[in-house]
Amino acid sequence: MSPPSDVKVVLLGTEYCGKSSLVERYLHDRFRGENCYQNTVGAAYGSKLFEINVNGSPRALIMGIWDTAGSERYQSMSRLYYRSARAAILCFDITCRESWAKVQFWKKEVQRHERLCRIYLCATKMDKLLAEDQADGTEGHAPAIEGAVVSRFAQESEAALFHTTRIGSSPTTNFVFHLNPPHFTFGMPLAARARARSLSTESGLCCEVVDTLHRALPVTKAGAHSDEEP
Amino acid sequence: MATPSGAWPALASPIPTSTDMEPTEAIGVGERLFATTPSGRNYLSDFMHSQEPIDPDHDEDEADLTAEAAEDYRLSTTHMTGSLHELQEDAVIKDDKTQQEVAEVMQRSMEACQINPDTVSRLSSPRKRSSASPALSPELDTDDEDDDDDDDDFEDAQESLSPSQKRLESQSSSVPDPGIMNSPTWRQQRKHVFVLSESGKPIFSQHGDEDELASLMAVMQAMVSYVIDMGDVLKSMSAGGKQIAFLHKGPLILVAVTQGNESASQLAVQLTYVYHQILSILTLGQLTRIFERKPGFDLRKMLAGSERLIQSLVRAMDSDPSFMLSAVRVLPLAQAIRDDITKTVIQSCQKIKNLVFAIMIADNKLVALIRMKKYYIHPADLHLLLNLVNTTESFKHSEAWLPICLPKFDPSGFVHAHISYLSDDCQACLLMITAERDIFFEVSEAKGKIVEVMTKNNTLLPISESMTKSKETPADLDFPELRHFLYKSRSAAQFTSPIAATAYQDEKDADRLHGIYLEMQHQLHSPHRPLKLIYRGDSQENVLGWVTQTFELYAAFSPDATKATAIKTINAVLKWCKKEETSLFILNAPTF
Repeated sequence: MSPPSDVKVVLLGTEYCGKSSLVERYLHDRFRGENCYQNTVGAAYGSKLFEINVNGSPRALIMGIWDTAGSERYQSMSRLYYRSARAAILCFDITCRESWAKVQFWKKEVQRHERLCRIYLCATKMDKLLAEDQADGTEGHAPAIEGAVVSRFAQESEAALFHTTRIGSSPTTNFVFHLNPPHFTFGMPLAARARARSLSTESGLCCEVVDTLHRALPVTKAGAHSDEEP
Repeated sequence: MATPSGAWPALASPIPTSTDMEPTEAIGVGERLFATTPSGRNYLSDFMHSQEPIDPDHDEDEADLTAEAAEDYRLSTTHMTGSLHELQEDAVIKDDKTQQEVAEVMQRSMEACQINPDTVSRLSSPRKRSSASPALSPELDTDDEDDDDDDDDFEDAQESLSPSQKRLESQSSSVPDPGIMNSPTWRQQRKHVFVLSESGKPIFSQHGDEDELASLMAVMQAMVSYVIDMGDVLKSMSAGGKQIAFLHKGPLILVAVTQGNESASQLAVQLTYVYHQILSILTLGQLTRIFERKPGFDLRKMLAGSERLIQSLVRAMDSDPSFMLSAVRVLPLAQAIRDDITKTVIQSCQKIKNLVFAIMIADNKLVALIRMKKYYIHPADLHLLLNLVNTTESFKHSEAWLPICLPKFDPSGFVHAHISYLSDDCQACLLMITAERDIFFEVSEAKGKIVEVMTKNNTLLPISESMTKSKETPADLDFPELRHFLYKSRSAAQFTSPIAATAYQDEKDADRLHGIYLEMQHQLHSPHRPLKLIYRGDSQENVLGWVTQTFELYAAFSPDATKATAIKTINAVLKWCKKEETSLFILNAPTF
């Protein structure tokens, strides 16, 4: 597919690891809650216009996001969606071991076929690890994957690592996950960051990685990093 | 294997043993409606231009076969009297020889699918304990005359239970309940649909966890394969007030059990839909390959996430008459507006290569349908697309691009569908289906153009208006005597119906009416004795069913309505349908 968008971003990962919720939050800033879970059929396309600074002059870019289906039967077709992608966000559910195994599969797959594609790792559902966030008052889950393993993997694959979560269980509270235009930074607001840090000491997960997606775009490399996240 | 020449009323539709008829041909009325034209031409446009051809020989053939089949009824021993749980033991009655054979086959099949006979005997145990007389007294089809004989046979059979059978029973008395199958809610479900693989692995169950039903499914598999061993095909049974239909397609076995009014052929049509739904997710090629490679494959892995499609389809078939009528509803629109929409779509899509269909849907109704020359969409495929749109919330929020198989169009391959809603103000969904998988952005661009032009031409608003307006009751349409009606234009394979009057607001009442419609549809299209006009009344409603060359009509009146009122009203309805024809139906078949 020859995209009219300037940056093609693809989300990959097993089913029910939160890809669609991530996109939904990014594009429409809403979260439909876990009870509304519906698996994606095929793939959904969404786009967002943003501006970046190239050598002092603004430039508009379209980011096209492909939210793919996690179901196994669509796996053979995923090539179609990540072809010529500049960024692949590999998502995994922090409480689900299989989803982590799949991340390794996708990494190989993407690196083999798309040399220009940058890889981003995204651990979702971090709030499940926190006891106080459980609506039913149960204990927080234990992480299914050790933080050190994840960090090492991220380093090896030169992938930026992000953690996403949802604060509280009420649907009106914000997701910590943010992709902010114009720089659509993967990161967390400060308040959440503090909590995540305390979390990270327990679970050994690294939460400090902040990156910008548009590194995937060579043209924007120079100007874009000026106003990074704190 | 000689059998008594008496008919076997327990089997609703005889199993033809002759080779004159393909097994699939007896699939039922609905299917017949689709399949009456020569191969490759049995699509929507045929309906749009031609009457439904009725094969005059068909019924005769079937009658002959009935006689033949009755002679050669090797499944004579399956005098079913209990629910499915009892099938295993019930299959083992009648003469010793047959009984022995059945027992052996069952044993073999169970071994093949690694089911301990204990498990199966456990299935039979509940009835043993609560063997109230209704379960044993055969509830038989009134079509046959030899009821008495059969009862005698049954008694005989009871006495001649083999030692192995008795062994099973004695074992069964000590084993605990088989869980879900003993739960009253599960047993009292009006209808069940099961899908399993040829090797007996559970794939889908409408109610309850498939894993818990593994042993029941093994029995189903055993029964199907036993009949195959005899060189025959198991199609349906009636037992314990239930209709049980079997459909063996490719590597799958589908079973439906109903306590409702569906006939065996109607159930077979429904099972065909379920089968097609699975194909539309996987394609026939993939399905066959999977099971060729690994006969014991757990297909649920491949269907993960799509169970909801099957569930909603099965549920819809319980209340939506479109499946029974094999027709689609059309959103009423003035012809000029529909033509304008059609024109917009055609013009915006001109440059897209290999665009096969563009379909606009609103509120589960067809707004417009444009096809590529030489290609037709079958109503059955259309129902699958409607089901997909109805059950997928995410289409409302983003454009989707997905591979889908349309089994009637091409069962072996995927086409690609671009699915999106027109706008937030107009909840109409546009599906563009192409054979190319790499042209998402071209299709997406065309969609943008369509919305733009429709906004400019002001054709979005009429769709929204019609969607609100379609909540009309018969009284709103000026037929106060009527509670509900269905009018199907047979040549167009489309139908119209208002929403039901207050008498059917309650789900229970609506179900009852749907049941009556099902029964009437079966009587009107019965291959043996098709009726033309039915008027039936009871304390709750009077219902009329009427089929002619051009239309099929069902109408429900209050129980105190007189025949004269009914006839007068019906004529008014027919006049109204004729007058509104151009807005109620799509009578042309536009192409790109």
